[in-house]
Amino acid sequence: MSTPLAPPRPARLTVAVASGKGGTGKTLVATSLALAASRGGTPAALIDCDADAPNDALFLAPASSDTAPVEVMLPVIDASSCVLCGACRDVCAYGAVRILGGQVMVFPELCHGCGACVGACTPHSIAEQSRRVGDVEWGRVSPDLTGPAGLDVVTGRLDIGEVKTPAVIRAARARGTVLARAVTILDAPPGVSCAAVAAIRDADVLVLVTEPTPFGLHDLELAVGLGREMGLPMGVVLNRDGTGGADIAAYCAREGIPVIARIPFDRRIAEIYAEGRLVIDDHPEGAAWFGELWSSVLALVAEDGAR
Amino acid sequence: MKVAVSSLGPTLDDRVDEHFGRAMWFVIAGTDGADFEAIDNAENRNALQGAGIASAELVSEQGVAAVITGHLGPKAFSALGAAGIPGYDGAGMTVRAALAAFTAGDLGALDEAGEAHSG
Repeated sequence: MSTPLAPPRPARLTVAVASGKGGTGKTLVATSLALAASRGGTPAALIDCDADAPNDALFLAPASSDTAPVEVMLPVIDASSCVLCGACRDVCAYGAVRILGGQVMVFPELCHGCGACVGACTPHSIAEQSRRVGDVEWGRVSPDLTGPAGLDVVTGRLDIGEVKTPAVIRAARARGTVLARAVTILDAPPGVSCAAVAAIRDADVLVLVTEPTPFGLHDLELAVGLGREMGLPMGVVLNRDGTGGADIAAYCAREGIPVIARIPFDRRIAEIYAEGRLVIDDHPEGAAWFGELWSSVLALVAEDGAR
Repeated sequence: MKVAVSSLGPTLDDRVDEHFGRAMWFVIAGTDGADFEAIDNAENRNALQGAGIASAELVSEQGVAAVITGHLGPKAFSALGAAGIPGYDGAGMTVRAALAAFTAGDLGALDEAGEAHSG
């Protein structure tokens, strides 16, 4: 009698750590989970997609090896050859190109840099100029911390005053693709808007971090809706377990989403985090929590692959 | 001389809408108030973003020389500025009263942008 084969693990695995609500513990989970993966012998990369306020690197202190700017394209109008036909305005899906006072105006804060206006302009009066909106920095974490498999940290950082978060997130993830580690962990920004979508798109599994408060539950429901829309298998990490009053476990049971880890409400965790240290190392139960969480994530992926 | 007044309804007796980009209506009127036309601003009012710019474009296409409203957001302010259309504060008045006050030179100019998404 033959033994059924274990479902093959994907050659490369991408795990997104996300939440609807901010401040639930995404960074705490993502940093320690990335270490659990690398210590388990899997070469890993952690991509900090919280480009408005990235801080994974503060905890993991990677050697900074390189930085690259993130640029988006912006149309520039040549008024001398423009015939004011309005084709650029009509094709713009974001209302960023307007005709005012007998001239074409571009509003950079609305422009997504798609180039549709350039293509629509028959007199070829529109050129594109690149504009910096942020940068991506990457480097390797000390092997003393990660073990021989190694961990790279990629940080997407939006420039102050800019709004093109998704462009920075896409660039950070592209750097992760170049690094091509066996496991990529994405630390997503909070919320369920464009930035969160850019961070979790095409992941293999979604780890949703929440807390048992009414806000935590409400925003978890939004995040679950997003995960469903994107067709991702999901597991919930219940952080600050033991506080609040919202019954996250009951909600998850109703929705058929497993609670794959519980991290208790514990003052020591807050102290460790506030001092920029790592829960996996500095809390007596940290190694067990994140080792088990990593196993649970792999089991979720295997289960989804078998389906 | 034509003027655009952001208004809560389509008549001269409706009140000035303090919002420009997301105004309910624009009443486009001659300063004598005799002939006027009301334009439903529903499309811009419900836009996800860029309402101020789109409304500025709308009134600019009507060939108005001035706008009477309550507040102008930064983008609406710069868009109207590019079109050479000054803004005036007619908050709290009816459209008819605001037009009369404008003609008499009694309305204050909105010479700097209010906060974005005011109200």
